[in-house]
Amino acid sequence: MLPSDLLAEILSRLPAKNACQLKCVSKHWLNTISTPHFKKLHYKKSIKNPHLVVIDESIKSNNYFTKTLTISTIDHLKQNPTSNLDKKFTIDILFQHDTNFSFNQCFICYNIKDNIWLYNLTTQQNQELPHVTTPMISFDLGYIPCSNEFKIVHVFGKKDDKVGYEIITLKDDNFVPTSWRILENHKNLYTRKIASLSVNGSIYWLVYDMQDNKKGIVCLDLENEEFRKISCPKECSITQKSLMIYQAQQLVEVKGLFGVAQFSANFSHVNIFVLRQGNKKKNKEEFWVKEFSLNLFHMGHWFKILGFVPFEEDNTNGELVFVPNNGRLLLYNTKKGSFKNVGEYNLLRYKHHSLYFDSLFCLGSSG
Amino acid sequence: MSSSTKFLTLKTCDDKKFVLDEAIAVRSQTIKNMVEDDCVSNVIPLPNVDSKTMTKVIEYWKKHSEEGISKDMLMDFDKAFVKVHHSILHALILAANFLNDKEMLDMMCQEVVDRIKGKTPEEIRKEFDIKNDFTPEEEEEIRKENAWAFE
Repeated sequence: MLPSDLLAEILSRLPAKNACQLKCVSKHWLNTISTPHFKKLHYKKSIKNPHLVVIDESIKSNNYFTKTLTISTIDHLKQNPTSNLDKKFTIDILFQHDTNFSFNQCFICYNIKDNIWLYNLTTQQNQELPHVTTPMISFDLGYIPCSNEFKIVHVFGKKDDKVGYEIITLKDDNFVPTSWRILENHKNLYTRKIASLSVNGSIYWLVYDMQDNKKGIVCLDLENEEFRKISCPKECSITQKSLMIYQAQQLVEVKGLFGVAQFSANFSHVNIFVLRQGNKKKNKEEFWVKEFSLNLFHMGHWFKILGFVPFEEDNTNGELVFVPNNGRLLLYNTKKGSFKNVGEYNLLRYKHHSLYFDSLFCLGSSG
Repeated sequence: MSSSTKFLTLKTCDDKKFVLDEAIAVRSQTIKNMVEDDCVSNVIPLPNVDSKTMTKVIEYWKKHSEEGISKDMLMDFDKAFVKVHHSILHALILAANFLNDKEMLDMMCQEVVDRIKGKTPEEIRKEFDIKNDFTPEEEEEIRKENAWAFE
């Protein structure tokens, strides 16, 4: 019989669904798979093996007032990029309603009118969250690795053009709380949201600051629930008109850090800046580092960055995942400095795409 | 190399001795640390490894240290090397873990993963000779709690 630590090392390489089935092999296996250590190990391996989720919007042929959102996945992006789309879930909504999505790990947070729902791509559970304060402006799903918690931050409108924030905390193996918690004493930093991204325990909003008439970044540290303002990388501060479908500035997670991708006006070039922190004990000043500078000439006319996937054996290098205007996934290997196309499907017909990965984080059961 | 080849003697738990080129033996981080810390007398005891397992480990080390061996040849060797009964596989994993040879441990673990993948709990118990120590009620309870995984 293998000791628990070695068994965990082995079983954590399995997909979440497979690992959960194996809880009933024996007590030794059940105990090994149920520990927080196992979940952490699984998480570390899972982030290096992303899948792709795409969302399609179509009008119902028999009912013009309704549209159907179809959520599908492509498994094991890196090992098996030509595999088929796997249809997971469909939602019917009224045609005039816009649905927004926030992705994190295996969770899709989405709204139907004024209600927020949470769908788990691993377990395929779908559940409605408590009622929010209206009017809804936006919501984001963030993850705090050190405490293994998710927090959803909902921004709602108040009088005098002000906004309020409310938060719901989701703990592993616990039920969803019955109400949202209003965040008091926040600075009124939120203005017009352009994009948002959750990275390593924080949510970052790229906003258009009306006062300064330029773009800026607002960050909410999810653990202590404090806001701070971050200026864009210097080379990004020139306000650019985006005529393309995708913004010339896109938020991206690189090497577990928050980053901004700045495309040149004709999308022939992209600089990716990463927000790093000084290592002095007292002075934890943040600064931008230009991490990558890529020539995209002849690769397409515009791009969406889906993310960065670190290599198995090496966290400092990996692949940047792009969707160019030909709709085929484009991977950039940061070690070799080379591009490669994967998959045969055209991703452009999907309104939303995101990378996701398997997770053992479960809601609903008491524990 | 200017210095002549140094040899180490490894002694397994069943008192068998293996004389091995130091350059090969230091594939084991455990042995490497011992050599570097100078706490090596003539014989290095390996209390957690038996001679049968150690023979396999040394076979692996020697092949992977061969000069001019091609990647394809190593891949073929590795493929054949892991095709062993699960009891030997387990012994090799424990040995690789004790000797702290990450590359070998990783390969052996991956072989177990490949043998587990896509199998039902029953099939896995059979494959690895694992006794089901749950009562039928307990097992039913686990299946219920993780119903999504069995769909």
